[in-house]
Amino acid sequence: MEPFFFGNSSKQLLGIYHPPKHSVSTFSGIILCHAWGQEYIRSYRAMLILAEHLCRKGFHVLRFDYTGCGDSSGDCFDVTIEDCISDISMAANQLRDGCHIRKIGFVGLRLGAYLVTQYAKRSDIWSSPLVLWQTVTNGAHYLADLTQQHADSLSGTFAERVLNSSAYLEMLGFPVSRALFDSLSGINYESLCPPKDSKVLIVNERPCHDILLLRDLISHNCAITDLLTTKTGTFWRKSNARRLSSVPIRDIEEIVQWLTQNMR
Amino acid sequence: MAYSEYALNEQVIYNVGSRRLFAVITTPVSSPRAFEMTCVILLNAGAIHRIGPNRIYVKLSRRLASEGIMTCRVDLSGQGDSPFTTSGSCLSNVHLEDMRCIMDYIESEKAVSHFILAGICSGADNALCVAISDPRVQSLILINGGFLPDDILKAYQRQVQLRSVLRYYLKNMCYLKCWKRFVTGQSSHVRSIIELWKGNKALCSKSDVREKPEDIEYKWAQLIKRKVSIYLIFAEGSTSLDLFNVVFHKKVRKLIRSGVMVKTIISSADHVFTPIAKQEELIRRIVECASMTCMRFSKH
Repeated sequence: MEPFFFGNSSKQLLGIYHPPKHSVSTFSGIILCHAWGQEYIRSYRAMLILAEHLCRKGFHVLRFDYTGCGDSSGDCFDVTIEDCISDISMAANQLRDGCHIRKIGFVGLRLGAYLVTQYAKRSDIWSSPLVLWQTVTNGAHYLADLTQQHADSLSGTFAERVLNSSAYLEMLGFPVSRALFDSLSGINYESLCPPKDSKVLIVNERPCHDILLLRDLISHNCAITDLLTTKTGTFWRKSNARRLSSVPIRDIEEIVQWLTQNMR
Repeated sequence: MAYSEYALNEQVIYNVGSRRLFAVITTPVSSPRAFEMTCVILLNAGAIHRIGPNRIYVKLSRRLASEGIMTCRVDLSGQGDSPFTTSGSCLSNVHLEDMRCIMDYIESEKAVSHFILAGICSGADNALCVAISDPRVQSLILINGGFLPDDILKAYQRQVQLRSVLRYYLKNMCYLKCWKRFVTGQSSHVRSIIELWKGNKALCSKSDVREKPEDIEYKWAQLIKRKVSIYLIFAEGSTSLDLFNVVFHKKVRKLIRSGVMVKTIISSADHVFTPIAKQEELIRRIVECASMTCMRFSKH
């Protein structure tokens, strides 16, 4: 594991590079795109274990923190979707240039999955394998769920009557600006459709309506679309207080296997 | 001023002496002379990695740096990005050795000689253990610490829970919503009390415990004798406040009254400081404590 800061003086992102086990290097890289806010904290260990599994299969792996998230510079208050997409672009360039990688695949968890598809649409990464892990398919539902979790977590505590600032919304300890709220509200399954010829794996706990619609939409456009239904539960949720360090090992193994097959 | 306006001077380290420990050191661009020799080390809160609950440690590090104080947020072995060590000793000893390594590193690389340890929840407990074993620790900022081993926590669980519920209803006497939840059986407090009473076999007796409150009080007294400043910060909504009030009696109260130990309660805050206004209040309070300690060093 090699941690480092990358970016420029105004934007410094924390990257953690996992080199491949030298005997099996594949000259392929994987970028792991985290979830956001409280979900990022809850799923941190899962992403670390995924990175370790991938590098054992010979991949160069880069995890990184978005602007205003984790150890990267910036404040959560003024983060936008555009910032996060540009962070993915910076991370991809860093991995490509730093390790002379020929091909890069992406794994996005929750909001990270949406961000990966938006980055894929704007860049020239046709035919790159994309893994959409427990993706957010409906921004309004995602925000409503976070709002509900926030209210539930404070209900019956001494903090339940603390007034929120009018400048931003609060979701499980993290601020969401009005601009970010509006951008997130606009997410729907159609906006997640990646560019033509992408290879896509959708990993979801249960095939809800939006996920099935997304799969159908993607399968019209993309070279490969696989849907994996798992029973690992919502490991990224704050309500799973006793399972903070729980790792969905079956999901991880399936993702690694799929990437190994599709990165060749 | 927003944190993002600060010039950020952060360094990430992974190999610390003989150990693989992941840490981020935030160095101030310039320091008042009094603050140059000091580093605040932030210890993991529970299983959360080095950014702390709700990213409080990152915001705190940058705020302290803007005040001229260096900080280090570290993942102890087995937490966050630091791997488990296979040294064979128990976890608490592994963490003590981790902290020794990290302080050695900062001392030699950054020319720092005074350390302030701060941590939330289990981070506070670990900080206390480290301070007892390492004379370089000059100050402790302990937030929502339990300070006692699990067996003793179990022994006091009922009293603590009951006290916490009483405090909650006393505070919210005029708040209809909370009574509505009480009457309709939706109150989590009442449910937890019932569960606690039903599951009494799981609780251990006060005579069975390994380390008694008096042992902890003795440790505090030893630290104070060594002139270590101790700041205790509690969230009003944390049961660790009730535990503290139930378990620690005369000796600690005397220490608090005499001013050698400072206890602060942050009102309307939950255990992990979910409301952003309360995070800000906690950060302000920690910065004050750290600055006071640095000023004390400069006088010596």
